[in-house]
Amino acid sequence: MDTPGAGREGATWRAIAASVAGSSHRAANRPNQDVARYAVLPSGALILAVADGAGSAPRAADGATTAAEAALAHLRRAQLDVSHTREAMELAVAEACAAAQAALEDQAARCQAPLADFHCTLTVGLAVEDEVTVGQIGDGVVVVQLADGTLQTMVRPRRGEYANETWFLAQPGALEDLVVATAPGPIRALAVMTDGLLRLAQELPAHEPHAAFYRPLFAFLAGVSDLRWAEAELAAFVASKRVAARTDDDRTLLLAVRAARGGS
Amino acid sequence: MAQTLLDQAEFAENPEPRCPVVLLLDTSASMEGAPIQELNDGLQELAVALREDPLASLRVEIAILTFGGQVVGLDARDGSAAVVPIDAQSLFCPVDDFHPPVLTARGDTRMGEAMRQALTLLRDRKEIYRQAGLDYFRPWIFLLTDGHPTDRGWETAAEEAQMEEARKGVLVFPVGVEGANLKTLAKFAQRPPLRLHGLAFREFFQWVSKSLTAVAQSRPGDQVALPPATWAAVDTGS
Repeated sequence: MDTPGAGREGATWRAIAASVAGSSHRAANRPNQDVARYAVLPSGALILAVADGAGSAPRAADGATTAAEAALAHLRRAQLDVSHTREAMELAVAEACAAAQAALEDQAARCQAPLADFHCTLTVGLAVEDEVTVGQIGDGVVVVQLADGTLQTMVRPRRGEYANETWFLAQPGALEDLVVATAPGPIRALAVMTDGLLRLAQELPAHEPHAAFYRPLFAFLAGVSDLRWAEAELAAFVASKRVAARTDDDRTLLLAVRAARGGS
Repeated sequence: MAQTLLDQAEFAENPEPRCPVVLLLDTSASMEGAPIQELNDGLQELAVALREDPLASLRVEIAILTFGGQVVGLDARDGSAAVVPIDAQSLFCPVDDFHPPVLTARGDTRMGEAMRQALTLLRDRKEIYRQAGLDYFRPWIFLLTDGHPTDRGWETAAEEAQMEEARKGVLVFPVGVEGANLKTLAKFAQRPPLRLHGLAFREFFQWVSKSLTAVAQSRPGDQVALPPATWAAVDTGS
């Protein structure tokens, strides 16, 4: 079921996420170092945080968990309501990233371990009604579907010279490189992923969304009534042989759509 | 499991990032006998190991330079050991086409010149990727030798390799065969040279193919985790 008829008042966000370890991580006895956290608040707002722990930073999985949870906690406290402004949303997102960075520093100090041991990327998002603002440090991807159905890449991965180089939240000055973006108009769906899915979902080097990838996923979520079941199905998809044949990295996919209140 | 709309999702077709690798092989007279035989066996083993790794086989591109007498490029495709121009466009071959030549040992050891040629070759290769809009990983040079350069000015070439590595332009792995002059080899890289246990080329090349997979998940500042504990981890970062 599609949701064009769902008006601003009659609709709410629904979201699912799945994250699995890549084969190369399993071979190296490393855990899944991706983390996805999200919540749909009583106000109807959607908040999310996705972190990708750095390849072989020894405590990257801990770092990714800490960063994602700290960012989500900050967004939860932000309590934006219907009178929010775009500036307020962008500030909340930037502050969530700063809170996540501070949480990593605290954790490193507590463990008396180098901050670099906790290296991870971070993507945070905040959707109030049909407006969406995201912030990112690193190489995640955020794609939105606008009200007219078109797909648009909101944030692209930021990379160095090499395909496996990116920026991390705990690097000195990382917040100066924070990218914050607000969708150009009302949106009805969004997807957030870590770089493990980049080559399957995006058309490179232009970084255009591959429509044949996103449309069935958004349609799936819009049409389900049991979100727990849907999330299990999404996990099976992300872990499937067909996906695994194309990437050996950890991979995370978070999907959210606007749907009529009370399910479909 | 029942079919869902998720099964209808189609994937974008993007080329894999490339990982250029130069095998810089000492085929000078001092490698005669057991060392060159094991090197040849190891090259065959490397080809097999790379082919068995689905992603490495899509990403790795190999070029062979030898230095026994002249520094020459060898055709890595057909196993003929035919000498071919040292050209960044044509010298690299994908894993599917990699059929290593059988090498023989003769001549002096122009290690410095060989290293310079490898550095230039990789700079040119990266430029080709950039022009083509292809992503790529940091290139690797494997310097396999007994560590007795005979060319004048090899020390300068060793410094150039160190500087290129410091700029994160390349990863250099000097590897000495048994009895190699490790002090000399140490001048070619920022990390201690690797010593082969006995003439364990086979193990070495198996490790080589595994470590290529490992660099594929590395990030700046990371230590690339390498399989056997007998060799040190590679610092790919600052």
